[in-house]
Amino acid sequence: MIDVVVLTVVGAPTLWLGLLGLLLLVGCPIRESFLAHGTRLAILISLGALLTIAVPMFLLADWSGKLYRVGEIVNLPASNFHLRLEFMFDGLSVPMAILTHLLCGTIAAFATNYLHKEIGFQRFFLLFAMFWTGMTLAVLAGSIETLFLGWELVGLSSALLVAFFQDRVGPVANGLRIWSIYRCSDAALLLAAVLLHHAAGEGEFSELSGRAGWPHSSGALPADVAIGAGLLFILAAAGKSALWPFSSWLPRAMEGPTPSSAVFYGALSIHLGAFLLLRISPLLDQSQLLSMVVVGLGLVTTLYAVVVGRVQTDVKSGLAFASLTQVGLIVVEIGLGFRYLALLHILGHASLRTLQLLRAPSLLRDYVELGNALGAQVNNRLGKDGRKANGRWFVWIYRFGLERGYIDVLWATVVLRPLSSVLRCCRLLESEWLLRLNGSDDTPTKARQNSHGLDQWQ
Amino acid sequence: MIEFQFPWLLLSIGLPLLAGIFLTTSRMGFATKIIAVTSLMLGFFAGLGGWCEFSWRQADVAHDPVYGWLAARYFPVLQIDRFSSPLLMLQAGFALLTVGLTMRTKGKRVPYGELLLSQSAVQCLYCCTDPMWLVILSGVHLIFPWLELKQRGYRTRSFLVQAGGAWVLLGVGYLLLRLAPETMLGHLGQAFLLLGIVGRCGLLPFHCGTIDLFNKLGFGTAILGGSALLGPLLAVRLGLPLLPNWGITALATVAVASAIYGAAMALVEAEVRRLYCYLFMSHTGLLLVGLEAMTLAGLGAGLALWLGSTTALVAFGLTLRSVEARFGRLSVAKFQGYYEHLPRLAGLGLVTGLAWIGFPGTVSFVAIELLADSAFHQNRLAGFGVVTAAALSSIAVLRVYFRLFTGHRHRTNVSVRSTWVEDWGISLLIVVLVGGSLVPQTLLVSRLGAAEQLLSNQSNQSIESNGSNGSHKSDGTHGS
Repeated sequence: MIDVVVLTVVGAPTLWLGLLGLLLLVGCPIRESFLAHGTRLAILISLGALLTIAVPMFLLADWSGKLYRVGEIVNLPASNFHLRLEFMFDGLSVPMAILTHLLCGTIAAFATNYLHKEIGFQRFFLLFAMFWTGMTLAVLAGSIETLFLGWELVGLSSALLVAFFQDRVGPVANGLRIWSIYRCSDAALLLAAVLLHHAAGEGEFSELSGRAGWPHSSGALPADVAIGAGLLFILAAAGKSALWPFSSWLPRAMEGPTPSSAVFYGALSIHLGAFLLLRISPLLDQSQLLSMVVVGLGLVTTLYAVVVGRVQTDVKSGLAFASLTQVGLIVVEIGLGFRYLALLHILGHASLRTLQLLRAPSLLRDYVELGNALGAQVNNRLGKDGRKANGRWFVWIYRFGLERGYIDVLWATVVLRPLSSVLRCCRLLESEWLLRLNGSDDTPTKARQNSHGLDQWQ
Repeated sequence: MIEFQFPWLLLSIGLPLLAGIFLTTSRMGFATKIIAVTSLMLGFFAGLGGWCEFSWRQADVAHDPVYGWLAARYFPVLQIDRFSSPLLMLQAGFALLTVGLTMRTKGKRVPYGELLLSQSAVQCLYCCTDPMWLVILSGVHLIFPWLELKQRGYRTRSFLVQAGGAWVLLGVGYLLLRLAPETMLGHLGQAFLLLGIVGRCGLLPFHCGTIDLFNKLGFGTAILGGSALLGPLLAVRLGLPLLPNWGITALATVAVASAIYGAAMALVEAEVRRLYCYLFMSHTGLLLVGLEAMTLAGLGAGLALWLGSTTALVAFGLTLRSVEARFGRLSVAKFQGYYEHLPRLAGLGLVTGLAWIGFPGTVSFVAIELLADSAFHQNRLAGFGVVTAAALSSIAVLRVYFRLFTGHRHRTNVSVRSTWVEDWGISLLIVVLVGGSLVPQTLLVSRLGAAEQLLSNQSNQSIESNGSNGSHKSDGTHGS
């Protein structure tokens, strides 16, 4: 019975995604109402199934965690390789899964009106289904392989939704940038998974962290492997949660439609890195170095986001950096060992930020209504702060914030430009070599003849 | 070894051969494409039949019945084993789709006759296990791209230097190994063989010729030539049994470097044809990392990628070719914005591109994980290289998608919508790619069986070689 419930929780989003993909593949026109009602129905079914597991856990106060093995994708005993679809229902995953379903349901309802008659309506709901599936798989994952599966789906849907308004260059370029950072993060996660397989022969979280259940479990890996894998996990989390120095993608991600910005960068996707750190917390407990790295990363991110967020001139960028500030604090809490606090912080922050982002398009209207209700214009307190900013160091900080901490410049100078120069140099060398080999004029004979003919005509 | 109930191999090789000879010697006009498609379709069904009978009878090696009366001593020449049985069908399918999806406007430029002859040579190579015949047939296969280059009026020097040079090195290397296995000349032969395989695979530093070839040939011919993966085939058939440990290690190192280099170059390349060739180079590199890992898991992952990722990459190439057929040579130097006109092709291109790098829900997902795992077990740097190459490739794929289909609204006065043949042809490949992901265990077990057979053949040859001439692998054998 319980297996059917677990299958329903993860099967509803997967089937809905498969159905939408299939309909679009065969070119079947889909009505807006079908997409809207179908998405809501699928979310309700999945949420209902999830609650049948969550409510008894809550009533019995039993959060120790149960691992459900839905299926074995691959089992190759001769090669000591297996890939299992496993889901963990414990004190960490169940609240996160409920939050995911609630927020996705809210956003689906909001987007139905917000994107009504938009050209990319179908595309939005397809990518939204992919995101929801990815989040459900990732937060309920009982093994690194299952987490990786969801992690990649979330990444692709994020990048494509940032590029949703695809007739303009800006959103598309930003989508590609986000995809690039996500892929680095994915690579780190995959390497961590391989390293753990190599060391422990298992990718299950329960095997890696002992049997005590989250968050009381303790790591059972050799110290060097724990540090290596832990650093890779932190790198993966940093890329996904826009921690410093990967923070520059977050304001760019706001190019997407508001519903996706809300659910991705205000609520769920941005917390996925923090969730990963919570999930591997037994590894952090095992090594003080890892905990210190996590705390340091969180502190730097928070300071950076506070400074940069203060000088943003548009509401979505301001909210993006406000989110980042909170994510940085959550990461600090995880590093310091306050796991339940971090989890509560994620739940509260995600809900608040979703509300703020959904109200962002009508912020001016809200101000006017507020002013009307008060009978006076709403004071803008930023002006007061601005008058204080006249010291030399204050100007420097202001410029630092305005340039978003020079992170883009840093990346361009240290990584992108040298790499690009080397690759272009290789390209030039290849062209030079081919030119020498084929002779100076390697256009087809007919084209050469045409060209000569034109010369004569001229 | 079993004998087929029906001459599948002969049909799958002979039908394109006969049609090719017929088309090159006569002018058929509008019927040319029909004849080519029909012969390739029959060839594909022959390959499919062969694979079905092979799998149904759970054979290790199989040959056609017709050879019983033709010439008993040629049995070893044409036969299929677990490794090549699905590849024969797959390659015939690629050829069928490539020719079938050729637009009518481009029909006159496509050399159908030569293409069929080339396809026949490829099928023959897949059915061949004898090293000497492999070297000879791989030389024969080079004639067709050379002829097309000549027909298109391009200079052929770079092609001759790279592909011809690689073939000469292969031939000389094999001869030296055969004539003087234990001497200094034998070691020189091994080095020549290694260089020949690297050159034929188009890996670093012999990749320029392949890129030039992709740029000059018709896109369809280039896709077919690349998807045949004759370099990796020679690496499996000649490299695994004949190269010593240092040779295998060197080949694997070059493969990792090429996989990363190809993926990285695809990030900065502006011309789509060259970019696609870099992706193919990266793909070949990844395959060879698996093939040269010399473990059951690594070899099995390499063979699974051969089926899954090659299908995805061919489908990706066919999508690009369909777009190119409408707008001319494609460039990703700036945003083209074709999405409005070709929404389905855009979607199909994205899915096939992502399927190539093993995105979840596609057939190569497990294979790429297994490859990274086995490469990491073998050498941590190799594992890191595989993951890096996959990450870079995926960025390159999305860059192509964004640059071609988005960022701009392309205006045109004529309809450039995709035809139903294109939509359904590529959709069929997507169904295979996504459907294959539902049965990864079956695919991997089948490929591991093939890997096991290859490794046992290799150790048998090694023992034979030790018994007769003393070992040419002075530094030990490769265990699985």
